[in-house]
Amino acid sequence: MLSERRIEFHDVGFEYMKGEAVFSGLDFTIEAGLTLVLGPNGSGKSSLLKLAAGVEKPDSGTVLVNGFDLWSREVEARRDLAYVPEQPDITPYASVDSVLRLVSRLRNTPFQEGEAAMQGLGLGDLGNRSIRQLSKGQRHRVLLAAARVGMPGTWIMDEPLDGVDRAGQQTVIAWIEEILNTGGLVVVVTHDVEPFAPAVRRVVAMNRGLASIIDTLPDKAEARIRLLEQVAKGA
Amino acid sequence: MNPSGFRAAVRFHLETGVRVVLGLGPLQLVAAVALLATLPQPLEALRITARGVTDGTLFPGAGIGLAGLALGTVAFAARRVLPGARGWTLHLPVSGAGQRRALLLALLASQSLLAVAWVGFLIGGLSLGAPVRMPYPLALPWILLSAAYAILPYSRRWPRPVAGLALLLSAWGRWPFLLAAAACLGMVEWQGHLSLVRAEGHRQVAELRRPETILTRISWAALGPSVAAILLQASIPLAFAFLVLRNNPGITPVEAGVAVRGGCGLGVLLVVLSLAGRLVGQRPPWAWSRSLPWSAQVRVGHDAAFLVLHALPIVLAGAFLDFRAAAATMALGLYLASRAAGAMRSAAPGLSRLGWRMTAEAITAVILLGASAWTAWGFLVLTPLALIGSRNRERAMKVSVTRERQYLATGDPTC
Repeated sequence: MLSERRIEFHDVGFEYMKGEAVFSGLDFTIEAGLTLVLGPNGSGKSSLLKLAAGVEKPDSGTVLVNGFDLWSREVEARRDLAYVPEQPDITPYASVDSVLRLVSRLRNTPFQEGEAAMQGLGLGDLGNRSIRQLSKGQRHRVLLAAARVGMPGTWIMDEPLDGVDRAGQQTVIAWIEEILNTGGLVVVVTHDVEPFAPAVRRVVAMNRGLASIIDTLPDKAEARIRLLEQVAKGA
Repeated sequence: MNPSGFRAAVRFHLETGVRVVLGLGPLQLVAAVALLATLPQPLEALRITARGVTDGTLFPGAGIGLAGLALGTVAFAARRVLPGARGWTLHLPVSGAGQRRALLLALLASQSLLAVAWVGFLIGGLSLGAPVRMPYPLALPWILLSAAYAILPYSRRWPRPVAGLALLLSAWGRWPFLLAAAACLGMVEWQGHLSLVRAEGHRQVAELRRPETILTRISWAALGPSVAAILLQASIPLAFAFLVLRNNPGITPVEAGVAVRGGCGLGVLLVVLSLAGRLVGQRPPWAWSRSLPWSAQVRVGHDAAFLVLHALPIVLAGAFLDFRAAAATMALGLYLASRAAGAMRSAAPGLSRLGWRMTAEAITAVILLGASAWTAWGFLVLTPLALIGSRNRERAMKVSVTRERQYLATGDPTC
């Protein structure tokens, strides 16, 4: 287990189209514990997570995960990393089993962990199915199960409760609590702040590509939820 | 039955059937040419077949041969045609019988080259003065229709064997057999309800040691039988090189080398570019997988290895003609595969495949190799650089944007 988990953004700039910057000069650190990334639609929340997960490469600056640069120490930086995207874009011709086997192999863990995670999310009988045959919600749950394989300690999740039934949501929340209890780092983008409010340690407030960190949150549950909802609206 | 719905279903499936003909046609032609090339007197063999088909002396052999080819063709076509009937088209206002007839038409269309060849033999037989003995020449529609019926999925077990029996009876080409076959087909048409909503079976993926092998399996699943079709198409230029050597006994070793390098190089080009292009469409950039603990080098290296390994049969076949020329072509294969692995990650707007630059570069490389075997050394030196370039391309790819563009350009492969 890593002693101190963190994700560092150092002067990060990023654009999808030339001349249309999504971020410029992002510079902050996310430390262990639960961090919510909140902000209105189009503020760059998902793009921030893609940069943190190594899915997109910054055009300038560096992103470090647990001290390793995502693009010069690719394997080390991703070893303890799990990413659950908002759009479950799994390659369509893979089977559910082959996706979980791939993750198991890459994280050097037994395949049975993936199967157990699938059972936990109510997908136990879908192993042989092709991704093409799954609904969006099922694909999302496959990625949640894949995140669990090998129990990485750094989780990056984009709307993790979307398309998941109540029992599945409770499983996901329980997994997050388990990671946090073992010193893990969880970053969540969500519009549904209530399930995460009790455990959240800090908030990254996004607005038009700018990020500001809110470290101090009210202790009282109602006040905390009210603040989180205001930040989510961009207020 | 709703006529407009039926017309829509027929048109939809027929287009697929025609696409199968376009894909399978060159392969069938190559197979026929290759078969004729191995015969000592190909023209005489054609004459005997034409006479035998027309006057019936070649039956039931000719009928059984045609039945085998028809069954193989519809089996290949069914992999393309039938999935189309399990999805979106089911919502069309068309009855089960209407769906079956639309599928039958598509499967019949896929056999059109066989029909053309058969009619060609009949015309040839007539022009050679062979007497027409009925009903042997009429066996054709029976055989094609029986083969199509025999491949359709039914909700009950009996229709397929009955259609298979009809195929066998049709191959005999005599009136009693044809009438019995017609009775069998009538029974299938009357009571053979299709099972179109049946889910596709998927094999259990075995325990694998390396993550790259899992990626290989996913790539094969994405490509399907098109790998074999691509390899057969790529063997066409090599077959030409073979014919050049065979029909020119006085050819010098230098000229033979040019022919083999050119044919083999073109074959390798076809394999690498076709497979890479298909992978771009069928196994598009997979953003999430970039968050897993493997490097861009591994992902690109896998794709390059996948491409070059599939070109290996062409190189090995070339080695039987000229070992040194084939070895030189292998260097070209390594270079092209390394470059194509990068081109697959192209983020240029609107590109769904590899782009014209990659194609032009590959053609130039083949011309250079054909002109001089020494260029193979250059390709060997450039291969590591090409791999580094492709790795950098993989890292720099704006995967979210690329993926969206490719989905828009190629149509959603998940549908």
